[in-house]
Amino acid sequence: MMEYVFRRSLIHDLHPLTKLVWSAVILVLALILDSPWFLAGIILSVILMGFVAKVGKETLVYTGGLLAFSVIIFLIQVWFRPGGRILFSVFPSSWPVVGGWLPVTISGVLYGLAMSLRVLCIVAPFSVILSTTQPRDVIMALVDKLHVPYDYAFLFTTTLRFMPIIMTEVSTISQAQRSRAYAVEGWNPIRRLKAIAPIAIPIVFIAIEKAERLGLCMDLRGYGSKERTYLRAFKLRLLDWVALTLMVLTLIGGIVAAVKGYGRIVIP
Amino acid sequence: MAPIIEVKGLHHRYRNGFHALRGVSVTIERGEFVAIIGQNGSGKTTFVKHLNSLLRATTGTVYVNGLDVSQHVVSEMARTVGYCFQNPDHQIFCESVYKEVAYGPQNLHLNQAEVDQRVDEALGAVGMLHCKNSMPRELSKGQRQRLAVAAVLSMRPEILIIDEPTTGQDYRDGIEMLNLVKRLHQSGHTVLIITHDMLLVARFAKRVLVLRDGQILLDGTPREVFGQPDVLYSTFLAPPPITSLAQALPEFFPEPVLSMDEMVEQTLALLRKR
Repeated sequence: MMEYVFRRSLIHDLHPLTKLVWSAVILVLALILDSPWFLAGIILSVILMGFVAKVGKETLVYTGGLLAFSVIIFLIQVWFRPGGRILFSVFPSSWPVVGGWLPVTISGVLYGLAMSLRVLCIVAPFSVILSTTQPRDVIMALVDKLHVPYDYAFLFTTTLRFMPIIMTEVSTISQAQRSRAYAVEGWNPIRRLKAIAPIAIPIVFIAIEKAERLGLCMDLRGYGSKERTYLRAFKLRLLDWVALTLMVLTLIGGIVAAVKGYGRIVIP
Repeated sequence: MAPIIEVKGLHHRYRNGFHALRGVSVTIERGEFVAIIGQNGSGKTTFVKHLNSLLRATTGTVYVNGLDVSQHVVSEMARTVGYCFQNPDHQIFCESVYKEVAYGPQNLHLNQAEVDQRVDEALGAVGMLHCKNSMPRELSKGQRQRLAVAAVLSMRPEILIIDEPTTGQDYRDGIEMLNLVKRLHQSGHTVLIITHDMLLVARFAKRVLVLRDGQILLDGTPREVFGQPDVLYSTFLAPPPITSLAQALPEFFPEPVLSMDEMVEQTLALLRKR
């Protein structure tokens, strides 16, 4: 799970919207360009961005965690898009009967690389965004710039805020019940389902109670009485404009490259 | 007889790196009444959670009733250690008081007759036999707290651990709870309470453990512990007001005074002497 990392950096200071646009640009580039070289370049730029944001280690760990998926996608592609020269077969052709099965072709390898890198390109930016932007800032940016109604935004941030609280409560409840010799035993599904009750029932009551109290507190603090004002003004600063301009230029460059056919996979 | 609780060199480090216990060694004999006090975060709850295996020692050993706790899971320890959590709402989930109290014994796979007997016994002990068929959620806060105690008592544990029995209760509920704990101690249980209520400690506990930063700072009778106010102040604790008053008048009260009755007695003795 990615979490906000409290550090000071150029990227932390960017407007959340700028960062969202960044991930969108990367998404588009990753979709219109097929060449593994381009895609590898994009993923490297994302990791570089992580280091500029001083969350390089976190970005690497997170991206590394996705490698398992990439490998699976790579393997699927290798055998579903065969073409070109056969590099080798998983079962050597000298073997009887199965010899020559599952051939690995150049086209398969290149498309496999492209697909797996593409997945990394699309997901990795979120690791940088989530570790450099507080969720509520993302929400506020949406309210401010994209005019999402505040009620929905509040709903969303409160949900995010409630998760860890509820998880703590679940852990306490589970400890209290285990102290009464509660133990989930066996593989009988009905029994396992029944075993949820001692945890689920208290947590539902506690969550309702907390939500009621939260509602009261919101009323007491004048929620919904008038148009809200905000403590922090979210303004696009010079840095954001510079970043946005660079991104637009890169995007145009990418589109031109794609249209002219530079982004295609060339099978030697 | 061997001590019922024997803890040696206990360290606990949480997964987030917080070093909550830093070398706790303590021996508790059968039938003791021990109060554990200390600031929030001093390690009180972390310590007692090692006694029923809810937490595992990072290093050190914990023996309870001759059992190496690290070799047993919580549900096994529940027969020996009854742990009552602070907030009863963390455990109440049944639609009747009877079912709530029967839940523990049923988990121990006892037969119906035995379960019934234990429920009656536990509800009797907390004075709630008349609410056997009530809905737990309709009970008062004080009753729910006693119900939580009954739900643990019905497993007939030798050791009772009660986390903050009086916190958040009004005076009457608090006193009822204390009398209950006192009765349970007299009926043979080894009792450990975690509390911030110094009057409770002075009046009921036979032994006090003071924790600071995961270590035992003081270990003695309430009189010994409250007799060292300077050490207590160092961890933001203070003796009960009546004890502090006596300590402010050392020429009249050279020994620590623990209760109003003692104060009255000693004052009268002094007055008669003059």
